[in-house]
Amino acid sequence: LRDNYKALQKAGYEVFGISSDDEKSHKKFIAKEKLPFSLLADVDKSVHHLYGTWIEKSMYGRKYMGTARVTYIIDEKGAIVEVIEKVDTKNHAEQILGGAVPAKPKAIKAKPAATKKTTKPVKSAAKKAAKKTKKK
Amino acid sequence: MALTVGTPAPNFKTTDQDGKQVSLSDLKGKKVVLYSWLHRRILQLAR
Repeated sequence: LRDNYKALQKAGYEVFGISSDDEKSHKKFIAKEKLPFSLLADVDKSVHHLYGTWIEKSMYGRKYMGTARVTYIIDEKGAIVEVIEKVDTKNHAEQILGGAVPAKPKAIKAKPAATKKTTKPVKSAAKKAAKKTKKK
Repeated sequence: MALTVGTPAPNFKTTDQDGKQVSLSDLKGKKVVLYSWLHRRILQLAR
């Protein structure tokens, strides 16, 4: 996400990371990872509760409460337009852009395939129609 | 439960790494990506 931040910014997104770590640990993390975006501190987990991202998890049979890895995309009007729960850390920016911005390579690639499928039956139907008229 | 598409995003007010106040209502008119990630300390506890 860090490396693709510029692409997201170009597309008009404000990016925020959020966790229940405090400001100090955020500052360290930003410096260490050279993050270009802000990290929000949610020490009392109020935001996590609001967004349903504080959940019970289990690891090696032990249960504990933890942050769900979820990305919310919120539009200009404040409505949630996308929820990405299976976060692909390497391609996360693409996940975000691919879903929310229609004019991205992924969407363009998908379009010709779709139009081909729809035009083929039409052509064959036209040929059949032409044959019928020839017979007559 | 996580929130679903189409519902209004609940407003939140919190602080960023510099102690600056950030709330969703301040960000109206902007597209926002809110990314919640794993609490590292919790992971360490689980080990």
